[in-house]
Amino acid sequence: MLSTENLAIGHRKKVLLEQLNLRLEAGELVCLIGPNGVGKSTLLKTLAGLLPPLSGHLMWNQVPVRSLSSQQRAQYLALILTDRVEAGFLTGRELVALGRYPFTGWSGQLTYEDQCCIEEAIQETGATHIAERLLMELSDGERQRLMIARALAQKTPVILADEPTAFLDFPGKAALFRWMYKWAKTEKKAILVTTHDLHLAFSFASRFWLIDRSGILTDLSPHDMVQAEVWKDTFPEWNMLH
Amino acid sequence: MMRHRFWVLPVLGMGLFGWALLAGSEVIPVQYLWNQNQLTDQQRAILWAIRFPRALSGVLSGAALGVAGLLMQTYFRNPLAGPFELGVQSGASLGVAVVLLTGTGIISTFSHILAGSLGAGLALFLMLLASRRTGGTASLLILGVLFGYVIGAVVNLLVFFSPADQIRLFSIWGMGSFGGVSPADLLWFGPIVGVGLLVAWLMAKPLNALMLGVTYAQSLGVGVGSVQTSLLILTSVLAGVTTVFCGPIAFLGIAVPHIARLYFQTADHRLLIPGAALWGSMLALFASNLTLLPGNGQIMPLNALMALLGLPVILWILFKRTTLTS
Amino acid sequence: MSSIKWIFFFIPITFLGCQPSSSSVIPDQSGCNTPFDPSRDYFPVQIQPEEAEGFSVTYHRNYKLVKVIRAWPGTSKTFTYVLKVCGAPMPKVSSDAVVTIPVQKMITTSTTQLPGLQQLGVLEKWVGHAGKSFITLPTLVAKAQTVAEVGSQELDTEKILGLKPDLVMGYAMGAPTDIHHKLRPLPISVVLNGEFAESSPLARTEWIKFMALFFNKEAQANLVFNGLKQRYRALQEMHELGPKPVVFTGSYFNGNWYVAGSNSFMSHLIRDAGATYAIQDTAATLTLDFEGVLGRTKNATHWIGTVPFKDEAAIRQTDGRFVMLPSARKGAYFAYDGRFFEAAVLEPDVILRDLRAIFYPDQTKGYRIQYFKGLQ
Repeated sequence: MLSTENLAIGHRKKVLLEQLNLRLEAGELVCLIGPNGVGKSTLLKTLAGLLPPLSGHLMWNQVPVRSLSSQQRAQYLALILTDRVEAGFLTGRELVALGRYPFTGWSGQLTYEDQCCIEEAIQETGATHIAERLLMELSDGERQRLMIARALAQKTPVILADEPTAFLDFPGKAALFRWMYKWAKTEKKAILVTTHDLHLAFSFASRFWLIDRSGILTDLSPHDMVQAEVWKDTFPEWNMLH
Repeated sequence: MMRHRFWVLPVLGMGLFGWALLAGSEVIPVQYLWNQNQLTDQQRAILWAIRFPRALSGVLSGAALGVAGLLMQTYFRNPLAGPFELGVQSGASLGVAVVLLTGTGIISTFSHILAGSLGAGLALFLMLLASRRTGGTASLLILGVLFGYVIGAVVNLLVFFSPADQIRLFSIWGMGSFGGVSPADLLWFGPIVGVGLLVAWLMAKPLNALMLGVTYAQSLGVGVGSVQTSLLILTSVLAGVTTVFCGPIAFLGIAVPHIARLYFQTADHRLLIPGAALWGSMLALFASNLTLLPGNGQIMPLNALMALLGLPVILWILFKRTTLTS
Repeated sequence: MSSIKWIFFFIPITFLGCQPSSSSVIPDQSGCNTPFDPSRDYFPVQIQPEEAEGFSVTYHRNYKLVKVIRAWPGTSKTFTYVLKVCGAPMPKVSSDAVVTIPVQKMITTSTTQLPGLQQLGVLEKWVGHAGKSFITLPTLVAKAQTVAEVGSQELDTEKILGLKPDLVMGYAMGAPTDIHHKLRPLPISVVLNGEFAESSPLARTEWIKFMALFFNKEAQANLVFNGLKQRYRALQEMHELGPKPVVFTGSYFNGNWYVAGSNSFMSHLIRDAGATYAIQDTAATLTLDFEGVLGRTKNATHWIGTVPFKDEAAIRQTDGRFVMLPSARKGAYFAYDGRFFEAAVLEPDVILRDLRAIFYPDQTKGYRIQYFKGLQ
């Protein structure tokens, strides 16, 4: 679904990660973990085609991303970020409806099919009770829930999410991981998530991409992950808990 | 869902337009508006050469500035953005001043419009660069006000170093009034604003996505680069052409988008763009009509009334920002 | 306010700065040119204002007590000045300034103060001026080459101090930035000239007498003013042939029209020249929109002083609608010649004759108008 070949990422002349040969397959929920500042968000945005790679190749479905139009990209990959959304007079449903952006015409008029996708996404994420409310009345967690519904409404084969659990309470976090697991398994989506919630990641992840402090990305199965000492070096605070 | 509210506005607008046609020192009875052959030559001239252009330029300016303000607030994602407040209209003044004061002799309506829009565009571009380096809603406003002062200073220096004849030309140029727009000017003003509003409305879809921020918009398939460039040009032309014909008009651009959002209870640009255009027109007409209240041909300064009408809105945003932020 | 600002637009910078001509009189030990004689009546010839309302003077043996009653329009403050002979004891009067007369070094601040100096023959006492670039009368421009510029935009107080003037002739608008506030801490005598606050032309011209007080040139001033008044009155009393024209004066600035009210200087001149002034109900300047001008000047046959337009093309180019003005349709609009404002003080009689020639061209065949320019 998504693969890289000798990819190097970073800003301007500063290389954060290089020699990346990654594959994200349909039906997988991959958790990208690592300490702050090693380039998780940058990697995510580069994979999403929003930042240009410093070198190497990025392919979506065996097609170089550079050759895709912005609409084609948006129909293939949805993104969830931690950016605060400030659009006070937008209703929850209108926000979710923005997920249909790559499919609607010039005026953004929604078809019956679009409406169905939106309704489905709202129900799927348990956002029915906030769908008709104005964004300015909602909490950060409720907004984040709507942003997740929006990504779902986008109906893309790939979803990349940067700390999607950040604004959620613990039941919310757990529910989100359950949903993502379900979307990967039943709808054969490829999902890549950065997270600090390792305990949830252990329960649901198909694979781990672990970035350590020296900027090396290791691809690990959950089994390897439990065994590996490497992640304990990366998160020293976890040594005390385990 | 609030679409029914939309149709109240044109009715109100017609009322204000009628008032604008009747307001003035010469008494023209209402029924003469329908029965024009009862008008004397003088009355007909006043109606068609003075009042109608004044009212129409109020409508055009209000619509242009209201929509320019809306575009800027979405673009900057800042409820305190506005073409006057961020120095865009000052930039347009600078453009006009450069043409008039360093005049090469080729002074046409078109060169004014071009210079005004370029000046506005330059100011807007600089503000965009600056906005990337400052956080905070209010700091952008402070930056804009400072920027406006700098441009004002440059204009003053230009005036200082210019020969008297050129200054004479500059002094004729209107400073915040709708009365200086002649019927011939309307042939430029009307189509440019009309096309500008239409283009703005066609951009409603990407504008809606831009409310989520640039990264989200990009991820939804918005060609952010081209949309931002179009917005820059569009806002500069709308604010620039208004400044060229009517001078800098304060507070309209910042207040109208908020009024439109509150009135329609929506953030959807497909409704907000025509909504801001209508509310802008009405506010401008209302203020313009108020300037004539002293009667007997005497006029109050338009921008003083604009400040009184617009300032409460700004204060309300500062104290209770609910329409854009939470 | 905005029209004042507009005037400042017209101030270019000047790089000229010339030294004043030095006085050739040698002072005695007391510092006076002639020793003081307490028994002498120093002022055998006196003046009294007849038309002007803004000042008064009382004469004593060796000093004059001058009161400026209206330094600027609408003020109720009276300024008192003691003008005393060199060496004379200080009279027990409280005053705003003391000036030793006759003045040897004088600084002026307005071009309207200069024609008087010229006519009194005291131009050699003139050492400095604020805003030399405004001077337009050729003889004054030539003389101005030898006087110092003391500030075109803002007063150069250091330069004023350096010139050691006996008198700075200023004017005030009733603002905290006025010249007498600004120069108060300095050992300099500032006298306010309220000539511009007079609305009648003859009264304005009569301030030449005020000027004369400082140079003991009373005889000269009486001579000049009486002749002028006679000529002016004669013109004023001429019989009109034909219907009285209706006239207004107004300017266009930043999209607004400013039309002079019925008590303005120009409206007095226009009435004295045998015409009717179009605005009769309002004394103060009116801020109008174009429709207002059109309505107020419905019957006007002439538009005098078309600031800022210098020709008809400029009017048409600014706004084609302006030719709707009845006065413009008749082609009877006249711009001020550049020298107008100085001439208005120096030669109101000539201006009156000009206006008569504009209003009654048949009566004044062969006369060449000097201070106005027809736009067509």
